[in-house]
Amino acid sequence: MTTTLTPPRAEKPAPARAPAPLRTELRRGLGPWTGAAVALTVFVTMYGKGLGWQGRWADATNLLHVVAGLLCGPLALAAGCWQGGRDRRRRTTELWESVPRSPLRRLLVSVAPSALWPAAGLLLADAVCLLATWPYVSAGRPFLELLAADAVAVAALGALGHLAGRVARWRLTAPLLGIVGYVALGLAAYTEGTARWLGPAGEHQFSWDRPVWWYGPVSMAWTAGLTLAVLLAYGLRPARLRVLALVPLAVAVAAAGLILRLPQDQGPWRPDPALSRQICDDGTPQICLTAVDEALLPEVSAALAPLNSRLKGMPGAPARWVGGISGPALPGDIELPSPRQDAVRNRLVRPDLYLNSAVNWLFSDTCQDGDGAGPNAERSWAIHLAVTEWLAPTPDDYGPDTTGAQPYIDRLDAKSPAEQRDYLTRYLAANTCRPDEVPIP
Amino acid sequence: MNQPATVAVTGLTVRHRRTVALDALDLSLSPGIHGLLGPNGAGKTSLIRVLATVAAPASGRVELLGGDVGSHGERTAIRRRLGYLPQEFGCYPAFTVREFVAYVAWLKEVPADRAAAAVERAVERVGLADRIDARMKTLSGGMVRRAGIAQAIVNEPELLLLDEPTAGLDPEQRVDFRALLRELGTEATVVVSTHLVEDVAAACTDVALIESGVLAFRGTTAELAALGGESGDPGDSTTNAIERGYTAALRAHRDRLAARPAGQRAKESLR
Repeated sequence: MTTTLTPPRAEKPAPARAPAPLRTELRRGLGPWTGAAVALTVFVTMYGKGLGWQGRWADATNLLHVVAGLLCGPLALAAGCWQGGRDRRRRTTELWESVPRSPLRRLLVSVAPSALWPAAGLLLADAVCLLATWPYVSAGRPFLELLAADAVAVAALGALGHLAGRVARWRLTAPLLGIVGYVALGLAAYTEGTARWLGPAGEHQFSWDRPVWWYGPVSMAWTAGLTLAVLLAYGLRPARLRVLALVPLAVAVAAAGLILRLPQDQGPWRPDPALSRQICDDGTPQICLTAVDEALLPEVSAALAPLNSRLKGMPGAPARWVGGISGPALPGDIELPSPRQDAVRNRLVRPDLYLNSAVNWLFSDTCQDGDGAGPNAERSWAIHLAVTEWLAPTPDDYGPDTTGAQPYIDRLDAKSPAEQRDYLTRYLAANTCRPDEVPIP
Repeated sequence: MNQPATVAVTGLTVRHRRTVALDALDLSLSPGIHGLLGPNGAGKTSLIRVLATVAAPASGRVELLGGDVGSHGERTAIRRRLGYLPQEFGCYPAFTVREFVAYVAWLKEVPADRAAAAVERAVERVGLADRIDARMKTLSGGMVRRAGIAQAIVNEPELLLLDEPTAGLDPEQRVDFRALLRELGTEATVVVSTHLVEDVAAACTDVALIESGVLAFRGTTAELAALGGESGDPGDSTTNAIERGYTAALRAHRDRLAARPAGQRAKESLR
């Protein structure tokens, strides 16, 4: 040490303002790293889940929601807990107890990085993922109110973790709290009761639904109210002021009451007619998808074109291929497998596989117990496989062994086009649940 | 000693579980620099912590700067005029010196329009102006201690409590620190708890010696030095004289305790 306590004569003018404590808290320490970790967690998970979520707002929102609740929440909890133990680790507690600034304001400023940075990291990652989704969606809008509720929930978990870190003296509390949070949030997300809609990770799979308008704001009131109540109860001095914590607690309880009154199965989700309406092409048979998958219609039409050209005008052939929520509503409708699962950015990754799946769905009959048995069952299965393979060969390494079906495939190939149409008509008319009725090629 | 007391402690008792750290202590301090001396475990830090409003006494009355620390409202007002450097000074290593001292200024409710200048002045006074924008984690132990002093004086306190302030400072910095203390002591009441007699000799006008939670000696630095008597060594320094006085005061106090009736000593030990 060469400097002394002698004050140097500095000529530069004093800055107009001292560094604001909130800004300092937000800039320094663990906060920015937590925000970056949260954003990275979202990016890595979304990328790891494939890019199928890019086609629908609901898929992107749902996946972001689950990642936020199940992964970012525990991360914020653990990071907040570590940050909350800072004063004890740095031995500043005693000094802070001698200052006039109210404990609540001190608490709110020191909690800020634990709450705001994870929320900021999440919102940034959400924004990037939604921008990546935007070019490929067909209908609807992103559920921004749910993503905002996720950010509030993650901020709340960060703040609660911070308080836990202040109270608990054990250094391993932070990682343990993260693990416990992950298990608890996971259990809450997959429980059957209505209470799962209180948790920040409740999953919903139907892409043509939308949440009731009030669910996002009420979820925010629930998590923020509860957290604010705990913060006030901890930070308010003198103790008689703690009764004020009952106000946000009452808001949280009222919000929870509204959520718990939702239907157990569908929770806040309701079908959106604008998303679930059918969009059809003009081919024969017609192909119809829900509006959320409208952008995939040309891809699906192209994938099914070879099959449709064979089935066109054939008795027993499907009148329409129908995908999505409505399913086969009219006589002659055949259900389509969901094209979204096989699509990336509105392109079917494997059209041949999709065609094969569609053929399998075309020939699938709903059989009763005891059906499909008898001396001709094995032959019936081989013929089924042969017809399927003949119409839409299974790509290599994807399907079953076709050795037993090969003779029938050879016979089908050997037929004239008229004979092939005749056989296919008979096969479509047959009940494949009864092996004796399945025509032999 | 004609100035009004800024610290008035009456019958102050502090207990740590079953141990009595301070035993019905009476103490009155006015503006100036007051050294708080005593052996390890005598109760110096317990007294400083009560004066810093960090610890609550088991009994007794504590008035600081004319206010009662037992009253919530008055305690807040006192804290605005208080500076405190704890024995174990902690800080946030990621903060710069400016940010940390400004953070404390905010905690001490220094008005925002005065905070920037107050921070710079406090940091300059402890000789850290050239490191004001350095992170705390890059400072040496002595520099961190000086940053601790800077945070204690950022609100220009009327009552400044320093617990072992020179620990970690090198001799040159200690000399400068004592000069700073003398400057601060012209207007404020400065209480320096230390076991370094030379700090007291160089800077303090007044000494309180605490032994086993009670006041063993109270007087000026010169009076403490006089207790030690004349030294035969012509090269004997003031510091050595105060050390002799310190030892003599402690022994005299212990002798007084030993001379008391056994029953009274037993009662006191049970308190």
